[in-house]
Amino acid sequence: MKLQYYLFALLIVGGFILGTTTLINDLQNSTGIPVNTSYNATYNKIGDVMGLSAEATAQMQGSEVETTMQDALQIASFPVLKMVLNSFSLVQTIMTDAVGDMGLPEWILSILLTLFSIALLFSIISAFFGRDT
Amino acid sequence: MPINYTMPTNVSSLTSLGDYVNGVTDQVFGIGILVVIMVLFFTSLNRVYGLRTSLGSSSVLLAIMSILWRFTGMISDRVMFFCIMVGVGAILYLLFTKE
Repeated sequence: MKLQYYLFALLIVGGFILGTTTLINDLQNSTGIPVNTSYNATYNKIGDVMGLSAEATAQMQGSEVETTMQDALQIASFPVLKMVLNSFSLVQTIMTDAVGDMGLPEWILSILLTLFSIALLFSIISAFFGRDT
Repeated sequence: MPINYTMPTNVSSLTSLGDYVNGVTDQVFGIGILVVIMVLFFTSLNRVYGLRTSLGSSSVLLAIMSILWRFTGMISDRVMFFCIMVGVGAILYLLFTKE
């Protein structure tokens, strides 16, 4: 897989995760519906991602240069990087909360997290050493 | 005499339909109707455009709709997060496999 395609794929996945978290956060705030306490960690992380998104937006808007995509990533690089890392660890938090909520044994969580980590590792390896498809 | 059920207006029409059916059938068949709609959506796209298109479209729609369903009180957090993970998984599958 080409590196450009890999970055494009990351952008799509990250955009999807960010979109869903935004929707959840907005609906949760506007409706005030109580959430299941088993998923507290997940909802806290969603709140973190939204906070970082607001921080990045504020930094971009505060800049005086005409903001292109590249400028924006440089100006707000730290919150954007934290947002990307949080988005990926969000998947792991959801897995942890879901396994706890369903009362499944810990070894299932270990297997799930290991599989996810291996998939992530292989995808990174494929970006640099894989075939060009 | 018409039955006095209120239709929610601040969510999508598909969610409103499920919510309405839920109200009419005493909180039983709402989610069933929505599942049937998703299955029909998937199969009709699958017939016309093929597996990959239908898989991507319906799983992303399912993930987004599940959030709306959860906040209209039709499904639990557990089901919502499961649907979101299905959406993420389907996107990853489509991106990292050859057509």
